[in-house]
Amino acid sequence: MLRFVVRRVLLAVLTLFAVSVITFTLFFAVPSDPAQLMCSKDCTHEQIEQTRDALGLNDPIVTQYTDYMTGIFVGRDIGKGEAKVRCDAPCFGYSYRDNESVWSNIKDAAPITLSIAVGAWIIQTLLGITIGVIAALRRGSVIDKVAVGSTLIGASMPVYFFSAILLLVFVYTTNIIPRPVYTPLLDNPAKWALGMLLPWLSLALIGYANEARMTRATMLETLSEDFVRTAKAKGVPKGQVHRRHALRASITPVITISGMNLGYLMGGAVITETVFGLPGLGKLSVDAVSTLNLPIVMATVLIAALAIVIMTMVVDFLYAVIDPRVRLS
Amino acid sequence: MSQTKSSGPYLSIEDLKVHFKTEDGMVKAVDGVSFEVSEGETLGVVGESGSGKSVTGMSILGLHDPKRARISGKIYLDGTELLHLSENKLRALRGQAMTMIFQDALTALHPYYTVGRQIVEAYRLHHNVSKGTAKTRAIEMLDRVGIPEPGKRFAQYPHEFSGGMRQRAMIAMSLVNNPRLVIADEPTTALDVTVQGQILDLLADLQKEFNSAIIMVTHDLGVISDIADRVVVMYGGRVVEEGTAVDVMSTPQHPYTWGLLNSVPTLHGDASEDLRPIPGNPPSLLNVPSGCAFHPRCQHSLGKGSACETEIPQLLGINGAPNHVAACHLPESTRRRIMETDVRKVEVA
Amino acid sequence: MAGGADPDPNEPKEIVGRSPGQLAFRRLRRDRTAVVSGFIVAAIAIIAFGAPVISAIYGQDPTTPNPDLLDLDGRPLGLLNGVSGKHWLGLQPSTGRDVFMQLVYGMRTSLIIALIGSILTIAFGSVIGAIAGYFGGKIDAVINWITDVAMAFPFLIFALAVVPVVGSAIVGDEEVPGPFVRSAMLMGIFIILGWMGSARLVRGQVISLREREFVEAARASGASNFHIIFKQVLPNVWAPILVTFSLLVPQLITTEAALSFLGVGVPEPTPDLGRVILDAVNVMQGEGMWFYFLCAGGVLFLLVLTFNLLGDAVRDALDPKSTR
Repeated sequence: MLRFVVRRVLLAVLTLFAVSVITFTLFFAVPSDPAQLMCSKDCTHEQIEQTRDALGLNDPIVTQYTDYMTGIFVGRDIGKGEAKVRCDAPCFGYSYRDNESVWSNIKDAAPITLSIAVGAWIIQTLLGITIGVIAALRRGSVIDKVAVGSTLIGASMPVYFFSAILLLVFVYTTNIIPRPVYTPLLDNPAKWALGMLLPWLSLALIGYANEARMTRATMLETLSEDFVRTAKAKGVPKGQVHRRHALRASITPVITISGMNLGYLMGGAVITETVFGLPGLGKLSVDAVSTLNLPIVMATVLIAALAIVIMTMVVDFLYAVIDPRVRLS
Repeated sequence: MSQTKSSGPYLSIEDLKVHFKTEDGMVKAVDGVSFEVSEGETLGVVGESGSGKSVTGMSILGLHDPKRARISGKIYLDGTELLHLSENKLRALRGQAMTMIFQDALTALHPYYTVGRQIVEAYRLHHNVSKGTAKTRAIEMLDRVGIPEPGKRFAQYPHEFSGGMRQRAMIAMSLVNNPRLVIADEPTTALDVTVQGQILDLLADLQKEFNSAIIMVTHDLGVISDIADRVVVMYGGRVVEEGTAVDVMSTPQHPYTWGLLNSVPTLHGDASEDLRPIPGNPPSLLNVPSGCAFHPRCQHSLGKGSACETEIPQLLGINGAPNHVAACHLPESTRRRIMETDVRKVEVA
Repeated sequence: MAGGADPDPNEPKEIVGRSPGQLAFRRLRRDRTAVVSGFIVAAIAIIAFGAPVISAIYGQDPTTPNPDLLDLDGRPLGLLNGVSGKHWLGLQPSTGRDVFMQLVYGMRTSLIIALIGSILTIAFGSVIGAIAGYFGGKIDAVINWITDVAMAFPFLIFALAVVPVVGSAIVGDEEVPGPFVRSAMLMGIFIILGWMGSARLVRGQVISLREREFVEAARASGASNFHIIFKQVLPNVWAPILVTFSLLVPQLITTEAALSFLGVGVPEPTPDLGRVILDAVNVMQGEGMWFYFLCAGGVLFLLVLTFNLLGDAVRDALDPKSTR
């Protein structure tokens, strides 16, 4: 078991390393000149050269990469001579536009994304599993058909269209719900929830579809397994057969999808944040991309990848906990 | 558990029909089957896959999905009719009065629960006892079916058992409530030959101990000759021959039974004698051949337009052995001649 | 792989051995949803690819501004957003372009990118998966890890960042990449971040096929690995590949539109569904603009829905184990 955990963690670290190298190379090896971007229009050539030098942009890319990674883990000094600034760990550099530290941008945006992600994830997972199980148990009935139909609609609905519909109907037209804003959870939980309601719904009412479809499919498959028949032959009551025997065995693939979804959501609900104008990580990266503000983009990609890799790992561990057959291999 | 205590057979099935509705039409998996088993008796039900033997076993326990299966006929367990019993009452009988041992213990046991936990569950469903008591009982059963170190094995998962041990554990689970009827659905098919023998011996021992009725569903005449008292031969969803194991094995009456016997390799048989498998495939249950379902594959069929093709043969007693019945249009004398010259017999243990 | 059961002389005539392909097609034809969605998909394809013809018949093209039909603020005059006999779905505010033509041409853009993107993505994934499954061992382990890495990339954020960065690398800082370059880049991203699904699927199938007799036979008769993978193994996994394809197309339609919505899709003046929706969302609060908004989003939604319906039907028909 310990070997399994250690190997899995090492693999995750290696994966993140690869992601960081690829992203870094792509972003920092391109011709667009950050020094130019940081200068105002009438920068002299010398000034640009100075900035380049100060940012270390004239160093070989390997040096730049190691500097960058060192900054994340232990902090580093940016710039040379008098302009030198100490950037504490985790240091993702400074925004090209306003010279603010990238980390402080991220610290401001993360709670918003986290609020959206966790809330939406809880709703969609509960909804997805419940609807999937009910549909499977009532296979072929009207309830099943309605459930399958609704998941098809969910799976076909583009988030940007659906978010906009919610906004148009509940905010602009009827004014039932105020325009989503972020209030920190600890300041006012009710206001926090109200402000997050539409983003949650816009993600969860679409995201549940996959989980429900997966749950239904695996549940149907499990219901025809031999061990479910054995349970019935033992005299286990129907409800227990479904809960304790069938659901238990069919939940594993659902956990995979659900866990991965949480990972992707935590990386930033790009579209939802954009449509509702919530300054989370997704919105931060969209805005940064439009101004080619690479340090911020780089940081958001890395953080999103971190969330995904961690969730993949968690899912693998959960697998091992749930399925005794995994432990041995 | 039953209101009417009868002195007759413990289980009797009358004109059982199990039909499944499918995309392509009605599958007549079982089409009018009757037989009986008494306590302490082992009934072998033989046939190729698709003969309806497993479906029959499943319908005794009421394991078919009522939405897909059309079941008619009568099944009496100790005098109680099962087909019209409420799901709740039926559930109380399952695992207690009647249990089933499945073919492949690896898929039939839940992969996520320990073997011990699954046996405990089976016991506590029908006995209002503490977990500790149930555990003692489970370990006792594991020991009884010959699993070494039962205390340790109790906490292991099915995949940690060898094939033979797993089947023993399955048997321990099925017998934990001392059922009076055990339906064993090909319990040894997935096992090595040496292990097969051990499992059959175990079942025979346990039967002596508990005096239960056993229905042994199998395609393997070797298994039947080992442990069955009586035999029912099924083909195309119907019974084609029935009698004591000795009668059926030594004086088989139906061409299908001959075919089965001729395709069994024997240890002491003549090595120069060829195995003669039955030509063709089992019939499609969607579209069972007219008349005697076996006629397209029967070498002794009376030919085109004869009764074999047009009329479903009745199960009729054999001269001198009224309890030995067969459903065949061939005259008894013809059958006797063929049977004596052209059919290999299997010794009954 | 043609030919299901062996012909059996004793079997009644009515039971005919059918190949899996025939069986699948028969099931597909019998499924009412499949037939209906199949027809709608075909109709959509005809409309989308016949866009110039429709434009000629309808008498409008997607890019002509109609300044005479807008008021001074750029708001279309008349019913809703300027709906009239000449402009069935009205006009876009500010630009004054015909919404119907924008959507028809937008569907064409969507379909071209999604179809070609799906084919390339699946071809790439299948080859990688086949290689991993066929050779196993170290090659398999390395490909597995690369799969992990590819899955770790946050798709939207990465795509958002890469398109402008790589775009400027290709055409230089000053120019805006043309529609062709942008489409190629979008497809490139779909391939690079989308091949993993089909690779895993094909890998699994190949592992189970690897030890089968016909592959053994090919190997024994001295066939090259290349021959075995492409001629013996891959043709045997066409069913799951086709299923993946039919489910990938709608996914790529949504994703392409999402990227356009976020401003990194196909550039002006090529009509694009995602950009029309963005435009509509920006003005949806305006008087009567809900109609424009519903048309724009509704077309995309229905497009994806019918493709999903067809994809589900294809899966059910091709996968005998499928449960519905």
